[in-house]
Amino acid sequence: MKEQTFTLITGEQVHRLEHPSGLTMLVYPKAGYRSSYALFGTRYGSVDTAFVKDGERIEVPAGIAHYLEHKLFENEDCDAFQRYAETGASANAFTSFDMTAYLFGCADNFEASLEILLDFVQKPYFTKETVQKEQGIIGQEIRMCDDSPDRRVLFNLLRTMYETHPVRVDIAGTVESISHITAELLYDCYYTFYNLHNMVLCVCGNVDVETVKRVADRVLIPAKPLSLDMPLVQELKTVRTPYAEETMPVAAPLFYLGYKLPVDGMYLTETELVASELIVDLLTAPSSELYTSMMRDGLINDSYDGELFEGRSFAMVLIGGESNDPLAVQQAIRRELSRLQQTGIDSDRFEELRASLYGRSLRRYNSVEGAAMAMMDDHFHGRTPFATEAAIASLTAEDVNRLVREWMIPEHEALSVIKAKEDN
Amino acid sequence: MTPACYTVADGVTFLSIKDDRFTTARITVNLYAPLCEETAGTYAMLPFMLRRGSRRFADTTAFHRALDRLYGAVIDGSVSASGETQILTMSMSCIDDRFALQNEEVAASCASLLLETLFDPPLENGVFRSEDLEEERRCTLESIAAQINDKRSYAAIRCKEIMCEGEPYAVSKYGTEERVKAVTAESLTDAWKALLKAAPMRIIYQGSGNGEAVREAFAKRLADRAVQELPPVTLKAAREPAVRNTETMDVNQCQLVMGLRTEIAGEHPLGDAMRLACALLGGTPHSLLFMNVREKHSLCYYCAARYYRQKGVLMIDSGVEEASLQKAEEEILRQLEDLKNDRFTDEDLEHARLSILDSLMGADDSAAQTAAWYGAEGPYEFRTPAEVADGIRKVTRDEVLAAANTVMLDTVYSLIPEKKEGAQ
Repeated sequence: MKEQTFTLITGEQVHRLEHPSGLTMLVYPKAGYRSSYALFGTRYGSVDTAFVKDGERIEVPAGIAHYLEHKLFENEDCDAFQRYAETGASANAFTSFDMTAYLFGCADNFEASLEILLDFVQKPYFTKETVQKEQGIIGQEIRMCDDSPDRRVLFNLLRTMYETHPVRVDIAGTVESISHITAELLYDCYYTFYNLHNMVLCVCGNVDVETVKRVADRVLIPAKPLSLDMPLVQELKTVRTPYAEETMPVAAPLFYLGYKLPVDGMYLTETELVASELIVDLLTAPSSELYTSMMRDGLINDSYDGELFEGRSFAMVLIGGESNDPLAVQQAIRRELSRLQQTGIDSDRFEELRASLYGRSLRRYNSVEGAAMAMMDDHFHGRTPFATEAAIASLTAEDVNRLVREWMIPEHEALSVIKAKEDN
Repeated sequence: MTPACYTVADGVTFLSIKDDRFTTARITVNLYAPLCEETAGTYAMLPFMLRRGSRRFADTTAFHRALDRLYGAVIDGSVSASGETQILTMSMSCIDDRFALQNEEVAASCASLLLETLFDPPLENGVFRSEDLEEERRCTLESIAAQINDKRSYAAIRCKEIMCEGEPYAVSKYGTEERVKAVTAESLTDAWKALLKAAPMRIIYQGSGNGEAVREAFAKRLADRAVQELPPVTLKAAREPAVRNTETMDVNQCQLVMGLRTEIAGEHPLGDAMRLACALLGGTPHSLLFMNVREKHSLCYYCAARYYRQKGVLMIDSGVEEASLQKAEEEILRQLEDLKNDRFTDEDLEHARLSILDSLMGADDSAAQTAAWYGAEGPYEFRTPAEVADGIRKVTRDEVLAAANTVMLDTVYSLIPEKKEGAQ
């Protein structure tokens, strides 16, 4: 088994193992911890809207990756939750734009729980009846999302920013789209994307390499070599349309202002990633003059925040929150960007925000969940574990200035607003 | 890990948790006040006022820039409610000194800043500055209004208000709009002084040191005080028949919330049995509610039960189609009756027990979770997660039945979609 070790800034080590079955395994033991966390993920999410079978390209209904995630919990003889009930582990799963992951956290019985995880994900069992049964459950999950203004404001933004990229399609699909999902389609998607060569196991906490290897040897079924065709999406550099709005029962308008970042290749580079994070801080941190003045003017409140949002072949800077005047917030941010484009970032300010980024990156090591998630993100996004720290150390003000000048421009900008329904 | 507990002043306990597993150090200061309509609005604003800075850093931007330089240290204020107690929290978290890049004493600097915010805020003519007050008043009012945005938690709040009308438990952690509007710089300053003088307090230190310097600093600042104890919580019997209340909103999904009363609160000997009974009913993905309302009948995406020990109240909620509302309610009540009437297997019970034990055994592994645990335990006594686990291990089936049989339905609240214009 090929094995590689990475030493982290904490002095701890992450072991990367290439299991003969085809699965990459990342193991991060944490001394003194009682608990462990495991993620078994595949590079398959809602952006994978088509696959190739026998040379033919097949389009799939929106929401199928998420539907598959639900249905995989049911094996032929038993439900995975029932099996975990025997070990006490707390299990779950999630589907995002570009990955699906099955997970558990536990304090005891790690080996038995890991065996359940690796086993049930390899045993799909879909029938007409079991697929039908899930329609009601996922239907209610979709309804819940439909009523969530936080989620609507994000997906409305994605739809207005992107023209062709499937990031614009809702992860859960619609009640209509999921009605077209069949057992056969689920099997096709499963056998296309749930190949161990396309997957990763990330574990962190009270774990050791030998235990993980032992379970993997016992449970993993060697996978055929895989050549997955994941085409780069042809997408506009600029936004499709710059504004979207919808009315919902909310107290005050909610907004997301997005900047569409050009992604050359599949993912942002590490330097682009941390520079973008620093740009987010420049525009949203309570230590910025922009924040203070918008607070004073009553334009924003505590909900004001930002993030770098990225995945396979898409990335954006998102700034959002609640505001009685989202257009005025947009204007204030534009003015600040325009100032930064002319003068560049002040060098003291750059060092402060870089120190802050470094401190924040250290916090990821504190939780077994956070560390395992970071490893999976890094792996699927083509990065070595926790490599962004090095990028923070070597980041320069010019890296930030260049991206502010080239990326944070009006052509890349879109605003999504949820307006408050008048009568509440 | 059992905290070392010191009484540092009248009504003030200091818990020191020496833990070098984390990359961060953390100090949490909790002030406990009776939850009451007259004071809740004023008290709620205090943590938000205090986190703005100190006399030394009277300018909020300068204060936050200082925190950025300290590797993105965080000083935050928040308000919560537990039972009929309002908890005002000020907290600090920063990187542990061993990760400082220039050997700075980050933790000591941050501890000083936290003390300054609490004891030495920026005042003008002896009272809080009016422009600060107006900004925080606006933000608090907007937070109150924004509770409508998340339909699941909004429905839970409404059910609690209807069930406990006239009891302190129904009072919002933010207080009422009217009271927040009536806060003046003088009344807020008086409240600040009164709370520091008389509110029961718990301070929690977590870090690689022993926190002695922090303890001494607090002891010095709190030397002269006379504590006012919190009133006991009142238990009320469920109304018969249960009160039904339905409200409408422009939503897609119905929120069904059931409020139930128990006879078991605080340190009642059946407290652990009640915790276990609630987990068995609806606390896990193998609970009676999940397995039946969701998995067997496909009525919902979530259906969960939660026991609020401090008040002896149990809440069950689910998001369902309007057409399924009655069926979901009947099914939930059927599961409750099954629980009360001993219609569950030993296996069901042991699975619930194992699930609780597992989460308790891992609780020490998160610094934030540990701080929240001891904060919620109240100002004086506490049980460690390991002690609660011992209690859970000893609970018998008969005790679960005894606890479950005190659970009585009091209120059924539904939030349903408005009838669309033109619809029949």
